[in-house]
Amino acid sequence: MTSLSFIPISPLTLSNLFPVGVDVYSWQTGAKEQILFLASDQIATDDALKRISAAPDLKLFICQNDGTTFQKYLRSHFDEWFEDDSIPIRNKTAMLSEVVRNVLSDEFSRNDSNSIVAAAKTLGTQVANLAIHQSLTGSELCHILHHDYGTFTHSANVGFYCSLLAAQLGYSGNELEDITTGGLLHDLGKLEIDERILNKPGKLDEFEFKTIKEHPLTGFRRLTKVKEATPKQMLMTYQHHERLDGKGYPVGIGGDEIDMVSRICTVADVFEAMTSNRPYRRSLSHKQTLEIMNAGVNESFDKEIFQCWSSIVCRRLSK
Amino acid sequence: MLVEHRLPTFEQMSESLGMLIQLTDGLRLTLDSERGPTKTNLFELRGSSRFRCCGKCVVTLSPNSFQMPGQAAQSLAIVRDVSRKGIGLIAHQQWYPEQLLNLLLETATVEARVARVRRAGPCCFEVGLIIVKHEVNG
Repeated sequence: MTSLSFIPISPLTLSNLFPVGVDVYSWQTGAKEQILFLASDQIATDDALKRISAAPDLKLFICQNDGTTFQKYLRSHFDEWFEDDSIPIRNKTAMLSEVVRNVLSDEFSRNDSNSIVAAAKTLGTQVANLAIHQSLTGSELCHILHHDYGTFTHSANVGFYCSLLAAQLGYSGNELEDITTGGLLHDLGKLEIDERILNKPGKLDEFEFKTIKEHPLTGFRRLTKVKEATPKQMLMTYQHHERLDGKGYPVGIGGDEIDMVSRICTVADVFEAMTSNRPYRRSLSHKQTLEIMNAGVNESFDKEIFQCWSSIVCRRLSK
Repeated sequence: MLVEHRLPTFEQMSESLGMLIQLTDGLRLTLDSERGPTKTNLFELRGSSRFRCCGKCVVTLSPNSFQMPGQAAQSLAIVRDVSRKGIGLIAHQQWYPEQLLNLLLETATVEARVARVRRAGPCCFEVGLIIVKHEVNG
């Protein structure tokens, strides 16, 4: 299967009401090539949707060239899907996740801080609206989201996780939207790092590591120039690599000196990074990730926040 | 009866604010012993030499700057070094990059922008600033 010309899509984004407008292909693990699953003008039948959800190793793809049309399909129907109570929250989350990734990808490539913050704010509001529906667990969310490595995918996922975690910790309304937006923006500084360093498969040398460590500072600097950016978003960007024991960066603050919203972002950021594929390693399972993170409680992570996140993820794992 | 209104002097301001910095042993040692130009290395090349000094200054957040949660708008700090373009402070609270600060020293008033901050210990932050403008006190 040629991975270069196809992009994966979530089966949950297919509707039994509208045609997607692009050809959708399926690919079974081990198969030599992908086959046409749904033609551009066809509407997915309930049977087809059931079949795909019952086969976890069956993946759906669209041609890379059809990405824009697919996004149009998602964005044009998103509002009505969002209001429709008969559509399961998992499907809404999958649709929103696709939209968030795509908007962030567009905005990050344009690299205009004002426009990025404005877009993140709109997306943050929508993601926060989903997060207050407590029926979605962290584990379900992990399965819905994409886990390829790209700054925009990582940022989108951290935004979703921050939202779920903050909602569980009792945040709501504007504060929840603010934290979600902060999660989407937390790695803004990485836009100034050469992709060859970000995607380097091997070990980073001293200079490269120093460059990577600059990103909370450069992200924060960018946000100081954007009127719409809020203190919470700025703190999440600046402090998400600080550690409770004071051994983090860029300032080396610890304990209560690290803002609560930044501590939320740290847990979401590390969990996302470890459960995603990176150029230098494969993703870890949720269980492995939680075990490793548990060992870092009180040094790297806030105990209460980690336990809250762990309970969100484990609720599903234990079923 | 005419009452003359004068701005508080440097001494009055620094006395009323009080020194809240908890100096680390290492910093106390360098403050006591190091004076004059500092050495540079490959990782720390500078356009103009820095001179170690030790004095007090009143730091006020500029009204044109953004404020972060929990920050006192005015405090007392230690001036640790100066150069033609920059100034290094030790402060009890964290200042944030790009914040604009007004520094009242014994002999001069300086407007400077925060470039970097590093925590040295509890209530002890090293702050590097870029001088925007300065004038000698009359």
